[in-house]
Amino acid sequence: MSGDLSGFSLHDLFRSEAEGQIAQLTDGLLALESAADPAAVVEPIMRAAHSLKGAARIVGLTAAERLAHALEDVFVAAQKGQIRLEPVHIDRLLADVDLLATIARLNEGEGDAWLAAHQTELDQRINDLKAIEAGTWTPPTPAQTTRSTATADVEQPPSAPANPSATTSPAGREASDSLSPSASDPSRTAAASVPAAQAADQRRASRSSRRKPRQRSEPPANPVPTVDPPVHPKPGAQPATAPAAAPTPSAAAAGSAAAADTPDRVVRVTAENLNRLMGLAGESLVQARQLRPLVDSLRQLKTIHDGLAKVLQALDDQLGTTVGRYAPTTREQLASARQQAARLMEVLSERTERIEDHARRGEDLAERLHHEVISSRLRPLADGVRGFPRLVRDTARQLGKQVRFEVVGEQTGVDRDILEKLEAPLNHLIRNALDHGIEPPDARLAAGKDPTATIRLEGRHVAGMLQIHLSDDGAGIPVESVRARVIERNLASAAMAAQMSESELLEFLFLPGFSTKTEVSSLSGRGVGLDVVQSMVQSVGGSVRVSTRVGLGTTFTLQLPITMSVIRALIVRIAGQPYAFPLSRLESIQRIPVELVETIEGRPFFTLDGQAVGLVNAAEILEIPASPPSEAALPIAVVSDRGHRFGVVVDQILGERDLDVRPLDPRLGKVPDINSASILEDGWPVLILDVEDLVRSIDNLIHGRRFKLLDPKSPASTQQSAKRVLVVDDSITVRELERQLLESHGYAVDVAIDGMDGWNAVRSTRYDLVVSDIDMPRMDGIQLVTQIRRDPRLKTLPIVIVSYKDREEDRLRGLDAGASCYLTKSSFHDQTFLQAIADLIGDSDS
Amino acid sequence: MTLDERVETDKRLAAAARRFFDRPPPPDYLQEWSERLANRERSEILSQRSLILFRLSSELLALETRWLVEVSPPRPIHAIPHRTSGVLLGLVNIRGQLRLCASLHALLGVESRELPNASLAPSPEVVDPSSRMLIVLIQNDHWVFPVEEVVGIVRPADSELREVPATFGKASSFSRAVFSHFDQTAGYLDEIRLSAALRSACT
Repeated sequence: MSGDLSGFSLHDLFRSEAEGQIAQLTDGLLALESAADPAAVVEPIMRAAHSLKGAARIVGLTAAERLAHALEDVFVAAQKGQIRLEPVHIDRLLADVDLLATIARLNEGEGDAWLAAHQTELDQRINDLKAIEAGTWTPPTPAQTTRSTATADVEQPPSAPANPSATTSPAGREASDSLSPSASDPSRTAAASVPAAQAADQRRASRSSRRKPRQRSEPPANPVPTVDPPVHPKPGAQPATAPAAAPTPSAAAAGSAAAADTPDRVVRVTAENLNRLMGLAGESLVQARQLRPLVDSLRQLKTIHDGLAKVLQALDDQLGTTVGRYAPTTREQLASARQQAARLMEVLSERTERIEDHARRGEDLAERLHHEVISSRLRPLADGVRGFPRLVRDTARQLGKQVRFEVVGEQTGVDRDILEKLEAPLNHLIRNALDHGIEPPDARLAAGKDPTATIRLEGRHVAGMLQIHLSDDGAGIPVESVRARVIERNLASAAMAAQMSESELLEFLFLPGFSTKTEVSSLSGRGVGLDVVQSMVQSVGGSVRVSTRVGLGTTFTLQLPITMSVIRALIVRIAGQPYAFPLSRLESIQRIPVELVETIEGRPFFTLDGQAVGLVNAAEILEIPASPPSEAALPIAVVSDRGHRFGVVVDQILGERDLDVRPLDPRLGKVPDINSASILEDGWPVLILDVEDLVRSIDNLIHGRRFKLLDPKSPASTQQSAKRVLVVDDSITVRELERQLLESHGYAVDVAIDGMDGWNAVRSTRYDLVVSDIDMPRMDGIQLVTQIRRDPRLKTLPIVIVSYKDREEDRLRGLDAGASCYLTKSSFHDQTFLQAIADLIGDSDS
Repeated sequence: MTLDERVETDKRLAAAARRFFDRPPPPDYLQEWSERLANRERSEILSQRSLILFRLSSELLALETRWLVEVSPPRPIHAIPHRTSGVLLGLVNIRGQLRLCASLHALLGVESRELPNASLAPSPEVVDPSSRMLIVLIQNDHWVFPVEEVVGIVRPADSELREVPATFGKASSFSRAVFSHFDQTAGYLDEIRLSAALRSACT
């Protein structure tokens, strides 16, 4: 794609502009509701509507142009104080803005067809807007409002892969449906009766007030001829029918200040363009810094020249004491030489200074450029949460709940790719909180809480990860009900469930359809769509956790990865080449004199905080030729993961740097121990270590599990007869259960704690069978099966998937990937599990 | 010389010039040039093929120029742990982008004079001044190859291409033809086979 805007069609540009204007309209309308001085807030949204009108005209979107025009007229009237916009009006206007957004999203050329299909609706909307502008609009009955807004802003989150069942239907729709089942009928009749009432109202209005000349030109096409032209009532002459549905503006909705800040204008740049820019900025920095050695060499030249001048001086002095022995010409020549040397010195000094200055400025410029390009990848969290105040306001109004929405850390930098993907899951979680977490005001009062609930979205960088907390102060999730539900659904035996910790139990909420049965009323719907949230978060390599306290609220924590972002890292040298430890994953840096290193069973270790920490040479784990240590004290990076702690000996510690993380070339596949790559200031490529993987590799190395370290003379008789099974599961409970079960039946069992670990294990050790879970961090079961089936040496290895997911489509997904057998975790209670394994590889001793 | 005289002189010179340039061409002039131009075109059609010729150690090899992205001076290569196949050398920073660097020497079985020692930053004193890195883009994959020398662009005609002799060594399986460059035989590499072999060397 070309780098400039000429690569975009006019329509693309319009769409991009409309997006910004619509966001501003929405924000402005929300702010308007709680604004002390409406006129000040109206100004920017009036402008937005005006700009949108103009832009729509250019691309020939008549529908959008007319709608924007009508909106603008309303805002003009509001600004002049001719009308007051109450929450009911805002509802209406927001719905119109939504419609505008729909039109703006149409593909090029679809505008006319859309207009033809929606002509009546559009005319009705525009008439309503004119009525609002005239102050003659009668809001429909509350039921009608609820219904229209609810359907207007239900966003379909992308449905879960191959999941047509009702469990994935958006929570919002369910919320609105379940909201007022009794009201659904009346609303229909209300819908029918409203236009009539409205028409009557308008007739009344036109009778009671005189026509005034229009201040603005009519929209290009006059919609419905039967409707009376809009009129401006005298201030205060509001029709008596309106006030019923006009409560005072509630302060509940908008947590933000009334002032509508104009957000920075955003332009669209392709990711590829940005990557290239980033590369070039980095390169220009490297080039700029290369002037420095040149400057240094000029300084050396100066020193040499100084030496020459001194020699000449000494020569001159000597000649002075030995008058007469030399011809006068010698003296003259010497004087001339000294003179030239002095001039040379002058010129050299001046040039050195100039080039030094140039180098400094060039470097400064290149550094700023580089920094700017890097930060252009990050957008403030605020950009991704724009729609949420509106969502909270609308949904809370529908549900009759009072909710305050707070965003903390709006300026937290979030990678633009991740920000985009975040919206849908957060949307889901917020709806869940509104619908199920937060109690109605009277219930809250009864519980001694503030009737106005709070939903708080908090984003921050924690230890190199982006952490997002979404918390509500609602009713919380009763963990015991979850436990009962797990047993009831036969997901685990009572004994096993009893042992499960709170966090293990809460994990079940993320199972598809876990709580669709409504027997546990306080829970019903809690799990709806949480599996969708989880799969979305996992697709960007993140994780989601939930914690809850009954009566106090629930918090979802989304932990998102650093990939694609900028990380702070410790740069070290291993085997002569630079590697980086993400600082977030580094426990400490130590310099240990060689004499403090001890050995147990041939393995070196040192003592840190009274604990023995095993030492490994980094080159040894990475399987690269080691270079001899260059320092007397061993530079050691201490890393840990899940209770394992090791010291990694490196050649040299080079210091801390900010690195822009780039994914490894996909052609390489997953490289063990390496997470990603980057480029250092001097232009050297640097590999960023995958600390989790590294710790596991070290653990395997130390415990001799790596294939090449296996001792061929080990007691083969017992080893060979026992069938060897690898159990891959991230839950320690399940893992242990499976291990015990299998070992008690005579199989030899190894365990791996996730797919990646499992994948490393199957490649290094021969197994007769693999048992794997599906949902696991880093590499899930499906990926693991796929990888194994792709490997020519392993593709015949029998694999049994054991998962909580018991729906048919999950089963098919597993079998499609190449699993030999798909079981649910309830199979532990009976003989199914053992029988399946015996069927595949025979009994342990055969 | 008065002004009038000068104007007169100018006029005379202009007239002379016009006579010179407007004179009729000698007989056969058009015919002669038509033939010359026609001939040149024919010989150009024969050499439309453009190849970038480079040297690996003592062997000459060529790739179609359209696959070439750029030629760069040698840059440090970062080895990739657990991926030491010999063919895959590691990552190279080319204009701020990390590219995969592979050894054509290893792939084609060409003795490399000095194994690219990735652990040393190439300093001008050590590295052969003629050595370069070729950056190519084949089937949407970027590859970087260290070569000893980039000879230049050559345009061998169809008639100059010969079948690959069996004696051409390991490179024969990656060449679609050979041709002579002065007194040496150069291999005309098949980019599709090359790219397939490189890809499989990555994992």
